[in-house]
This record gives sequence, structure tokens and C-alpha cells, in this order.
Amino acid sequence: MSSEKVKRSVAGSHNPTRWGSIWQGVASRPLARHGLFAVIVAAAVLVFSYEVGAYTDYELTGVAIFAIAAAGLTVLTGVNGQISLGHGALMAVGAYTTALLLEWHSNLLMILVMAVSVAVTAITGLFFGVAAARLRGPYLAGVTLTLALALPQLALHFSSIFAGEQGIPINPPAAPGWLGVNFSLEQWLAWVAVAAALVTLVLLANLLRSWVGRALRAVRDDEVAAMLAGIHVGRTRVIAFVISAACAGLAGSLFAYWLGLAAPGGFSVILSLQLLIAIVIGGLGSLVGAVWGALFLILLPNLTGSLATAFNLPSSISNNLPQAIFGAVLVLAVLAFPRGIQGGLTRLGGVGLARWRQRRPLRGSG
Amino acid sequence: MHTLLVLTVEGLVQGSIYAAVALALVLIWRATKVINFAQGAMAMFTTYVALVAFQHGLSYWFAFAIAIVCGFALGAVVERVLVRPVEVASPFNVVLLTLGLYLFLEAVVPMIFGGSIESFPPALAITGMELGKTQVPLSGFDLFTFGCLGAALVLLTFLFRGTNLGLRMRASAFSPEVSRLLGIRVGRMLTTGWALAAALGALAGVLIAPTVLLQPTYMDEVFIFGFTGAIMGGLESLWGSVVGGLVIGLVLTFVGYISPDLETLAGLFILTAILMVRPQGLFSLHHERRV
Amino acid sequence: MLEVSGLSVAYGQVLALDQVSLSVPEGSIIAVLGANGAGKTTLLRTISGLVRCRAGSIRLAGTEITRLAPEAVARLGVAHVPEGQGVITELTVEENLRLGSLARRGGNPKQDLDEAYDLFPALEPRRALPAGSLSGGERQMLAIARGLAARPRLLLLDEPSLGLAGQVLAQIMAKLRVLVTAGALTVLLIEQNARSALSVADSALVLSLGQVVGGNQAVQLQSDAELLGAYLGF
Repeated sequence: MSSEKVKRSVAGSHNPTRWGSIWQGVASRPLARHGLFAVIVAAAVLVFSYEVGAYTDYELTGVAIFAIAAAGLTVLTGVNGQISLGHGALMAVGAYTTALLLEWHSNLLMILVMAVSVAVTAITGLFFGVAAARLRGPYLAGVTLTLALALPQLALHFSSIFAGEQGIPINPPAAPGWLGVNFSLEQWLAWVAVAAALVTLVLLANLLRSWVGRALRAVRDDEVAAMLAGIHVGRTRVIAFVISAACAGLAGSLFAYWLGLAAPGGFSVILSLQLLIAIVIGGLGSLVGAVWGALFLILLPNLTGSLATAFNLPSSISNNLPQAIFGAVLVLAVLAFPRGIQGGLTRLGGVGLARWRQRRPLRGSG
Repeated sequence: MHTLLVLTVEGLVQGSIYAAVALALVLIWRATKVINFAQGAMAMFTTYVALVAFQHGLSYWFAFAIAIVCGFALGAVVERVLVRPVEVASPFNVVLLTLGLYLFLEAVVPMIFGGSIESFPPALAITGMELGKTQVPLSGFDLFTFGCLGAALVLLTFLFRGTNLGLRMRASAFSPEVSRLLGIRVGRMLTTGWALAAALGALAGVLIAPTVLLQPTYMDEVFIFGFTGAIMGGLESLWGSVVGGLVIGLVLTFVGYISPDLETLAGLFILTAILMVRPQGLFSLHHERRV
Repeated sequence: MLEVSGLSVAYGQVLALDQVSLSVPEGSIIAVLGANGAGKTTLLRTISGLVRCRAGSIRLAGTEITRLAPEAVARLGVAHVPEGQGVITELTVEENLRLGSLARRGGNPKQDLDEAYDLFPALEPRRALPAGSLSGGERQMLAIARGLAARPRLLLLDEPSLGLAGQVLAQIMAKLRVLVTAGALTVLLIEQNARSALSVADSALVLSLGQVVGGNQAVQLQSDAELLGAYLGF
């Protein structure tokens, strides 16, 4: 290729307009791109939250909370291949840390409380990750399942600290003064939760694109090959565990504010399995998928509740219908992709996305 | 001294139930290299069926038999319909599958049978018997539980060591391809394995039901402790899993006496310890297992 | 006894067998030779039903067995002794043999076991031991004995010489020859070791890269020393 052509193609890849080159800069840097996307979503949610009532804000918070936890679990299970049935228990750690801190000093800064909860849960995750680093497949599943069953018992046993069965109540966080005295509590919590979720998602998205993400994936796909490539398998697995625990801690902290209570009953095995369902629905390994999964988790009980009132179904049916559907979805997802759900569902969406992308060639290529 | 005796008996009775679950898990593991996380839920389902039968006037023994038969059928159906199509090469998938089944069953049971918590009648007297002048901390029901476990163990051992069917099942588990070349219908053998396992699970479910309140989640911890017992026994041998279950039962009963509420945590510690230190189980003679 | 015509087998994109045809007359020992990767094992696995073919047909004594599952093929009287991993190591010698006997309808296990021990006396003292404790040669004997215990019409042998001392192999093949001459058995064996195969087989054909050498059409069995020499290098 002649030097003339080379010069021209290099020069031609810079669009002469200023906005064009800024866009170029943003589009080519993942952090900026993710950040921009998050800001857009945040703005949309902001507007949305003014239009809807308190109950929808409440649900929005729920979606954000589960999105955070599911995103963390995506990193552990989808990207790093470690199946955990115990992340509900890790959420409990975050929740109880929050509850205890607030019990000690009821007007601690919310962000401080959340940060401490994240830290405590991350440390718990560190311990457990190290203990479980060599476990695979059903063994890891069994151990984490036991964790999910056992941890709530701690709260019951040390009931003087953890207030046993009835749990520790938590006051909903008050909005800062400059928003006005009558600012809706649900709306404020929704803002905080969504902001936390967006920050988490942006951070995780960047992490997954970095060498950490590559290491996580490498260990999932072929441990021996990863080891030969110089990746420390055990350390990588523990890192994945800590990251997912930190997310669970954040989610758990917000969960406590959301429910207004930290009690053992709120953290059953079902919670852990719900997180698993969220990431399976989302296609296992996709952060965006985790958000979809969280949406599914929150919206489905709504739907079945409406169905139940519409058809006058007894409470024994309407209460249990969501879980029955969750179970059925999990079974059907596995049957539909007998070779592995990994990316199976996103593949369906991804094929569409890839075709769409092909319509617009990247600028500067050629 | 008396307390020690009481605790030991209680521990062994509980242990027998865990041993039955452990047996079921080992059977399935040997046949298909799968841990059936829905085993407890399946047992719970069949126990509810038995309860309904009993509430409709059938005798306890009839209801008992129905539970076992239902278990057998359920196991066969689950294997044929759900497990067979899924490639066992992806153990992840099978874990998710059995978990999905677990969720489904635990939700569907209250939908079918109503949501109230029931109590299940025991087979025989649950109070201690009298031997001569002394009150022995062993009840008729305890003996029945031991008897069931013993009978199950004897029958299984006879099946596998002494019959052609058992031989075919073992061959199918060890070398499915070679077995097919020998004319063995491997698929059928796997279904039989699952059916037997589910029948065992159903047995465990029915035996423990009188001592707990019957609710959809009542088998969760029983499953976990049975799982621990199976891991302790090395997942390969029937007798190993039985010993594992009994040991877990004993240890947890003693722990529960010293400090109630901490049983499951103790179980967690034991399980984690075994998997960290000796993952191939305490009684296995095999090489190191990749867990 | 066995008629294979136009058999094509592919693993994904790779064609392992390309329009292979051969015919094995009843009461004969036929060898299929070729280098590693020529498709010999694939041929056997397709005949016994472990592998699905893409095209072609396989007939056993006139019956079409192309699409049958391995269990069904075995029950029709085909015994496939795979290379290397033929015995179930966790089971005892006797249990392995018993499985072979169970493979046929109307089997008499005791009689079949006695015959097996007659045929291979080295196995008898080890009858209660796990098959995994046997030496390579003994395992091969066990695998063949187990195959024979099913009284098959057709015996498929995959590399019987592997891991066997020449003399032991000769003994085994001599016993097989007896059965074949009595009309009770037909044998199709595949081998890399051409010399040992040719010393026992009635005739041979050569597979190279999934194709029958010397013509893709039916039935070109030859024990032409020259042609074989050209392809096998002796």
C-alpha cells in the first residue's frame, strides 16, 4: 500500500468537526462510554421517578438492589464459573451490618454505613472464597447452600446482638435538606439505590473489560491453560468471590433500608436461588442480563398478584406462583440449552445485535 | 449417663435418616455423576402425598407404601424427562436443573395441598419402651427407623452384588459405553437408579416427618446433612455413606444439646472441613478427588 | 455375514470414512489394515452402533442394522471388543464374563463361564479379582473371552495385538481360528500391525484416510502382497 494511501487513511479517520472528535474519544474509551451511558440512564430514571408514585419508586429500588447483587453474582458465576447458592447469606451480612451500625448511631451518614457494610461483607467473602477456592461444581454448590441455611441461624443463636427472629428495625433514610422537607422517602431511596447500581455496573463493566476480566474468564474456560498462561487460579477465584461479596454487601445494605428490617426470615435459601435465576435469565455472564433478571424478579410477583386478583385465586396459589414459575423457568432454560446456558440467551439477542452493528461500520476502520 | 444414652439413640435415629438421604445421593451420583439437589424436595412431595392418603382414611402403612411407590415413580420420571436430555458433561447445568426442580416442587406443594402446616402421624409409639423395670430411651418408632435403614441397606447390597440387574447397573455406572456394547440398555439402568434413589429419599422423608412440623421446607436441612454424610463417605460406597450419615447424626445431636440453633452451622463447618482436607471422603480408598 | 456399502462418517467437518464398502463372508477372518487415523476404529464403532453414519448401509446377515443403537446391535449377535479400555476395571473378572454371557438371549451363565475358563485358563485363578489388577495381556484375553461369552455371530476386534506379546496373541488367534473353522464365528479385526494380522486373517483390505485403497466400490478384498507392500512399506 502506497505511503500516500496510508497517510490519507490515518488523516481521514479524524472527523474534522470538534464534536465528532469528542465522540470519537468517548466511543473508544470503555470507561467513558459506560459512564456516559450510565449518566443517560440516571437522567431518565430521575425524570421517571417524578412521574410515578411511591409504590413504583419502591419497586424501582428493589430492581436496583437485585441488579447490584445479580451483577456481583454474574462476575462470580457467569464470568468466573463458580456456582454459589449462598449469596443471599452474604446479603444478610451486609444488611445486618447496616442494621447494627444504625442501631449504634442512628444518624450515621448513609454512604458511610453502606461503605462499611460492603467492607464487612467483602471480608466475609474473602474468608469464604479462600475456604472454597479449591471446590468445584456440585461441591461448591453444596457448601454454599449450607452457608445459606446456616448463617441465618447465627442471628437466632446470638439473639441478644441480632435480635433473633423479629430482627432489627431500620428507619428509612431521610432525604437531604436541600431537596425539601416533604421529599418522598421512597423516591430518595430509589435515587440512592439506582445511583449505587449504576456506579456498580459501570465499575464492573470496566473491570470485566480489563485484564482482571480476562483472567476470570480464562480460569472459567480452562484452568490448566490459564495456569500455564501464568494466571494464579486460586487467587483469581478468591478475587471473584470478594467482588461478588462486596456487591452482595451493598445490595444487602440497601435491602435493609428498603425493607426497614434485618431479620433472618428475609434471607432464606430462596433469596440465593432468586439471584441465580436472575443471572440465568440474563444469559449468565452478561451484566445487562443481570439487570433484566432483576426486573424479572421484581415484576413477576406483581404480574401473578394481578392475575390472582383477576381470577380470584386463593392465596396459597398466588403466594407460591412466582416461585413455581421461577423454578419452571430455570428447568426450561436448562432444557432449552442442554449444552450449556452460558451465553445461550444472550446469543439469541447477540445475533441480532451483531447484525445491527454490521450495518454501521466503525469510523476510522479501513 | 442417661443423657448420653438418650443423645446417642437420638443421634443414631437422626443419623439413619441422613444415611438414607446419603444413600440416595450416592446412588444417583454413581449412576449419573450428578448431585440431585432436588432430592429433599422430592421426598417432601411424596410425604405430602402420603399425608393426604392418610387423611382420607387409609392406614398409616398404606400411606407409607404409597410414599415409597410415589418416590420410585417420581425418580423415574425426573430422570427420563429432565435429566436424560441434559448433557451431564456440563455439571453446572444439572445443578441448575435440580435446583429449578427444587424451587418448583416447594412452590407447587402448597399450591396443591394448601399452605397450612400439618403434623404427620408416627408409625408406632414414639415414647420410650419399657424393658423389664427400666425405661429405655428407645421407642418403637426408633427401632422401626433403624429397621428401615437396615432393610434398605441389605436390599441394596443384595441387589448390587447378587443380581444380574445390579450387575448391569454397576456396569452402566462404571463404563456406559462398554456396557452398551454388551447389550445393556444403559438408559433403563440409569432410570432404575434414580427411581431407587428417590424411593430411598421418600423413605427418609416419611420417617422424619412425625418428629418435625410438616411444611414445604422441612427437608432442606435433612438434605444438607445427608449430603454431608454422603461426602464424608466418599460418594462411591453405599456403606460409607451410611456411616457418614450416622456420624453426622450423632455429632449434630450432641452439638444441638450443647447449643441449639447451631446445628446447621456445625454441619457447615464439618462439610467445609472435609472438602478442604480430604475431599474424597473419610472412607474412600480412592485417589484424590478433584472437587 | 456383514455387508457394508457406501459408508460415510463425519466428525463435524472432518470426513473419517468416505464411501467405504466391504464384505465379510461367514466363517472367515477379515483384517482391515491402515495407519493411525485411517479410520479403522471409526469403521468398527459405526458397525457396532456407537457412531452414526452420514450415509451408507450396514447389513448383518441380511438385516439392516445401520441406525440401530449399540445395545440393539449387540443383542443381534455382534460383539465389539474395543481397543484398550475393553474391560470394566471396577468389576471382577467373573463379573465381566458374566456380563458377556448376559448379553445373549437364553444364556446359561455357568456354562458360558466354564467355557471361557477353558478357552483362557489363565483367567480362572483370577476370577474374583478386580479386572483392573490384570496385566495388559490378561485384560485383552478377558475382553475377548467376554465378547465370546455372548456367543456372537460377528466378533469385532480393535487392535488385538496392542500390548500383547506375540506368542500370547498367536494363542488367542489360534483359539479364534478354531471357532471360526467350526462355523460358529466370523471375525473382523483391525490392526496397525500388518504382519501379525496377515498371519491370522484370510484376507485383508487397507484403509487410508477414510477410503478403501484400491477402489472405493464394493468388495476389493485382496491378500496381494505387492499392493500391501506398496502401502505398508514392506
